[in-house]
Amino acid sequence: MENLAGKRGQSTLLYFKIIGIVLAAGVFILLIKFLADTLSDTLLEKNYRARDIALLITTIYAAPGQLNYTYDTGGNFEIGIGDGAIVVGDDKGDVFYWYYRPQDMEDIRLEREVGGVLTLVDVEKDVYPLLIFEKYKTVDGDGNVEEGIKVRTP
Amino acid sequence: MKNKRGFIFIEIPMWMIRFFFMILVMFALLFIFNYFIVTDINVQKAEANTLAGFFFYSKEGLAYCDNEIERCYPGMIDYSVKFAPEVSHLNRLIPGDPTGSAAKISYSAEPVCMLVDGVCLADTDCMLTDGKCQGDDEDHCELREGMCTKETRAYYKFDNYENLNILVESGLTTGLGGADRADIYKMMRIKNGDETLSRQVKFEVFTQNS
Repeated sequence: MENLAGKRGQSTLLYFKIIGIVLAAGVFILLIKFLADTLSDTLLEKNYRARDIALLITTIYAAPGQLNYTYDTGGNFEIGIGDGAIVVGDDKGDVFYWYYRPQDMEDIRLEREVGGVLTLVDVEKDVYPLLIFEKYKTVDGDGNVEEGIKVRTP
Repeated sequence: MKNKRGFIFIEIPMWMIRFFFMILVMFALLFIFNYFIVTDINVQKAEANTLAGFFFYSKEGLAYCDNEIERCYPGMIDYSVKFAPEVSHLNRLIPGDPTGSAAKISYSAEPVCMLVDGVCLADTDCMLTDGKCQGDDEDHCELREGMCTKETRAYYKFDNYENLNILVESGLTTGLGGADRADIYKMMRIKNGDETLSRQVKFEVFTQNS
């Protein structure tokens, strides 16, 4: 190792200072990137939507009689409903939350109205701006009662 | 710093200290940023209130309903058909998460034994013995405000109740794996056949943290 008091030593010290500045700049850039990723993160909104819809479905099941409820999903999220859970997702990942339903009521299904026909769709792939919840009760000729909630898009 | 020895003993340790503080500051900043970033919403209280509303007021819950005219009476609990322990009507509500919630609904029946000068004045299922309100296990006797009372109770998901109650009693109310409890009180009318009582009903809802 050379004598640092000399000309070569001074340039070595300069290299160290440059390395320090580069490292500090690197850390600063990483922090800025971390903040930018956090700002663009949709986790909070997905958590909010999943919980909000789950509480809404529990409330709709509890409500007496038939009703319609239009819900604005408020964003470009993929929304899946079924098997006791709401799944809200986008390209960054999925979030789910549970809802409650009475034992003798049909589990909720997400459907889409196409040409006047309600069609079950692959909820994992479609994006809906609105959900319409319809609580229904039907009685067939034998007196069998079927109750539940249908969800469809306009 | 004049020479090689100065470089080794002064400059290198100084750089190590600088790196150490830089890493310390970086982690401190990350901690501060993370502390203020909210990505979750706690809806356990809202969920508890929704469940309470479900049980208290819904036809699918405990509300008394006249099937002939298909009308339910909010604020009135149908004891014999829905509340009585042997009916277990509460368990008709299916949670998406089978282990994530539980509830206990209870109310005190008429004070059955009033403590006056240490003497129990009534001969009932719950007896005041040695200063304690006692009876059979299923009578749920309890001393409340100097009165020995018999509590009527029903459970929603009793197995979950036992597990979640242990978590709450242990103080594990925050973080994943813990559980939270919400106590909700409502003045209700209890209809048991032709008899109707007015009681304050306590609804304890247990929900697992997520």
